[in-house]
Amino acid sequence: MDMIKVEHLNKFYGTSDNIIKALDDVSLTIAKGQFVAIVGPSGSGKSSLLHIIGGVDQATSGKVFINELDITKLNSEELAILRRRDLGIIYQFFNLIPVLTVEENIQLPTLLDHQKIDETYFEELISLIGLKPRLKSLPYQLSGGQQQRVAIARALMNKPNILLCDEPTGNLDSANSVEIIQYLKKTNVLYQQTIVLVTHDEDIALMADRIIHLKDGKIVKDEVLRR
Amino acid sequence: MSILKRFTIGSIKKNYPLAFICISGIILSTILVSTIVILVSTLRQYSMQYTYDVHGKYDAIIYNTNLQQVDLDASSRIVKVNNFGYASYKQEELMYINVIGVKNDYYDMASIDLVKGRLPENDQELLLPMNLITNSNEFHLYSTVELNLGYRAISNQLLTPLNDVFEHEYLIDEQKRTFKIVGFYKSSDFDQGSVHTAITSSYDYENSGYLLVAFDKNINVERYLHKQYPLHHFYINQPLQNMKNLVINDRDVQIVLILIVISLFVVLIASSALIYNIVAISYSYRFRQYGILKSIGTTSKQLLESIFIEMTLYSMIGIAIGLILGIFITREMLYLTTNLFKSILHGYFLVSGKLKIFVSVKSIIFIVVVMLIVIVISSYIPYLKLKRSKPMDLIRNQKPIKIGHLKDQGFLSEHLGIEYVLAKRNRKIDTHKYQIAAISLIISIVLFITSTSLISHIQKVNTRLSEYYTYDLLFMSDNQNLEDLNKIYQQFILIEDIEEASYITFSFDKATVLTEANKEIYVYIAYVDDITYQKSIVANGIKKGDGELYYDLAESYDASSKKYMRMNMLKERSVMWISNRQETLHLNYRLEKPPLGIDKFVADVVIIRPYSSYVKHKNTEDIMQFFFRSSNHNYVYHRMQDIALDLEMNDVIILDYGENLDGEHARLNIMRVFSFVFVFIFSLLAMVSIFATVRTNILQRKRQIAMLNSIGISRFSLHRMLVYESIGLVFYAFIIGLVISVALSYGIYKYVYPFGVLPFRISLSSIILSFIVSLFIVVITIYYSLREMDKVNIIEIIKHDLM
Ligand SMILES: Nc1ncnc2c1ncn2[C@@H]1O[C@H](COP(=O)(O)OP(=O)(O)OP(=O)(O)O)[C@@H](O)[C@H]1O
Ligand SMILES: [Mg+2]
Repeated sequence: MDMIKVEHLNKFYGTSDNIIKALDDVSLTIAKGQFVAIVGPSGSGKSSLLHIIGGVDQATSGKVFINELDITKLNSEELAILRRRDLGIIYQFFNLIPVLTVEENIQLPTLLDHQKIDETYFEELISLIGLKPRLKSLPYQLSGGQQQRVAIARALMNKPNILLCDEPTGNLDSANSVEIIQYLKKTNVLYQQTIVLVTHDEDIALMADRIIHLKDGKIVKDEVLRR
Repeated sequence: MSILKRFTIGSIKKNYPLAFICISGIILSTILVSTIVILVSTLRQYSMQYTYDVHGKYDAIIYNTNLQQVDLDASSRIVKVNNFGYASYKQEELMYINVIGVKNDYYDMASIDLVKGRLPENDQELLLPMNLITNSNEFHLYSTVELNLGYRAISNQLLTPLNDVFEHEYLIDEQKRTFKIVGFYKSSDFDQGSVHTAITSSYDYENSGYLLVAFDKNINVERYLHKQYPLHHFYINQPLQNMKNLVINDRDVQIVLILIVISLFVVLIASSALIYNIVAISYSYRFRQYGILKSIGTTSKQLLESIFIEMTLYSMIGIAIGLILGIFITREMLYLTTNLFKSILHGYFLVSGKLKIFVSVKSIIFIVVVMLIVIVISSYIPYLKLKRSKPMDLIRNQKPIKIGHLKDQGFLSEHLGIEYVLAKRNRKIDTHKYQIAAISLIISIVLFITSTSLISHIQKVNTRLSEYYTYDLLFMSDNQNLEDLNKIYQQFILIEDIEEASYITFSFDKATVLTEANKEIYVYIAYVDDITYQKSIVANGIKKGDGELYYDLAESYDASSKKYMRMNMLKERSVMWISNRQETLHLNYRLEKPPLGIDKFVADVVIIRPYSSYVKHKNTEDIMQFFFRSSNHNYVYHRMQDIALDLEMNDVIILDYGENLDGEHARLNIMRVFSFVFVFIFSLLAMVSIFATVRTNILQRKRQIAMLNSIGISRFSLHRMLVYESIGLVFYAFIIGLVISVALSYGIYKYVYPFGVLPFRISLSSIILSFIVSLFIVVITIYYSLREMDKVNIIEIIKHDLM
């Protein structure tokens, strides 16, 4: 079953005489439980693709199916619920709510859904990101890498079906990065999560099941690694 | 163009909603300030004109000067008056007519208003004050009078019109002169007491005379004249001096002035708060940019320049539009209330002329300067903050959150969820901004509650007042000649617009109540004209047998129950003995509806008999009074005066109670109109302020909201968060506003009604209304701003370096 299906996706910026094609007729499918890495040079359209799949950005044309549901047809309210329950997104920049503590930031998706916090899972997450002593801190009191780790924990909090990560380890040292990706792989297996991960890091990309290469808004290579 | 100017213009363009809000704030503030200033200058101009009309334009009169030697400040106006001397006209009462000779410049200076006839053209003609006709019937238009003119003196000293008439004074140098009476002028305070002033025309000044002087400069007239003319007597035109020096004795005018000063003060505070708020927000909105500018070496002076460019632009547009609108609104407001004003002022002055808007260059300059000061102060404070901050703090653009702010694990947080926590944190972090919105809200709430409470209070007093009077005109006269009274009454009742009339002769006596332990009380015996008497028998449904009709009502304020108690002084079927009349009275019929002329405020026992049974008893000073109920008391009042004048009936008193009531109503209406306009403009101000706060808060938190959005916050949750935020704001403002309103209303109530006609009460409905309205405004603003948020692209906002 295809968890994510993208058909003829275009994302253009600018006016007709000076058009920037961030995504140029991109089509792809990602199966449930697949761990996909997207690589490509800066400005190749990786973030754009991720945002459109996550429903936080609008495509110029084309279709995006999540779990066979055409999300381009959803209204903002339905999209919000979809994001809350099925998607976890980690952005390249600015991920946290400044007025909430680390703990609250991580629990936010659950709190917004008015669900009970799964305390054991929460403990597991914070020991993974190693921020147990900083739970009561506010985001501005954390370093860039620490903030990124909080964002990862938050994305995982609701055990989403799909996890979209835009360079989640960009601010982390390699030991930390590997540990987190390994955890992602574990949850990927454990909860049958579909993971799409944008990265510049060759080593990290190689840990995925499949690597999609983007260049100038086009898929130039799509390799499945043997498993 | 310098890079800084480009940056400023760019920022304005990018944040044009903020520029718009800022200009609206300046416009509203300017409207408020100019309305108040123009109103004050108009009223001042009007009362100045009134003072000129009634009291004349001269500052002082110098008596008994040698007219050839005038040595006064060149800038002053001087009118010479020739004194022809005094003639006594009522021998037995020592009353004088003082004949003066004037040129035409005198009439303007003394504000002489011709009532009948024309002005004298030569020294054979005479203009008399109206007072003379009402005091005596010797003087008629175009008849001639012969006067023995001399100079008043006592022990060889000349007297002036200022001096009261002394018993042993005498006239010297008497000369007989004949004049033709050509006109009458309206008498004023210039012509009062025992000396009346008659005016003739003359061009030669061989006699001694007076000088009427008006100074162009604002000086202490009394001190100046004493220095200049130490040997002369002066009359100082005190009402004019008071007016020029803003000395106010009238309590009502004082109250109005105090209210105006308070509102000006409040307006200035509210405006500063609003403009400061907007400016602060619009800068914090750009703090990050300023931070970067600063970090690459922009000096504070350059930053100030940028702020200066922006504020100058806003001020020019805002003040200009505000001023024009302010003048327009004031004009309309005056137009709406001009009649009301007139009827208010009627009680104090004889109103002449229209209440026309008066806008002087001075007041415009005043308004502009005040507004500029407000703007400069309110935009300098945010600048200071910019100047003191480290670039990195500006770039981060977030105040460190105190740990105390995180302690909100209370009951509400538990039950209202994460939305409440977010709302509370956001509010705590931006306390500063919320405080300013709260201040505007508080001011509006205070104004609204206070004014509605006062108005409802005055209204209650008013309805009480109108309950007291069933008639609106009362006539009495010293002349108790029945024939004369009958003649005039018969003419009065022919006046159209009179709906009901009665005449009553009251007789006052002491009575002993036999049925109540011989208690002594005072009673009125009212001999009511037979028609009215019959009417009230019918109206009260009485089958008349033996015994008296009576009306018995005492009303008093009972402090313990805080209510007005109505009670009867006598038990039913009392029997009383009036020794002066040697009569025993059986009070058998208590009237519920008294005849016209006997009213609640009599507050005593009144025995009612038909006039046909009237007998005058010894030792009583009975007087007859007429009572009228009319549909147009003004007209009837004037007709009655004319009739009295025609019948040459002197010493009459006509009381226009309708006028009093009208005055009260008009006062109420003006207060209503004014408080409505003020509350309205203030609410606008508060609205803009709240709008600015909430909206910029949302703009500033766009990112946060977008982030929440991308995590999947539902719109409902988002609205909940913002509603919690605003309820917090409204609640806080409301509690403070309520406390201040109660205190203020009580203060004003105590000041206006020191003797508490009615118990103090605050209008509950206005409290509820103001709460609902403020909440409504806040919620609407939030919804409006959120709708805009719905439209934008989440990722654009997150990526956008807005702050
Ligand atoms: N709001 C925008 N307006 C105009 N062009 C944009 C906008 N956002 C992105 N682009 C352009 O679209 C293209 C793709 O951008 P995108 O952010 O997807 O690249 P990326 O692959 O994520 O790059 P990086 O590795 O640097 O993050 C770039 O050329 C970028 O300049
Ligand atoms: Mg990117």
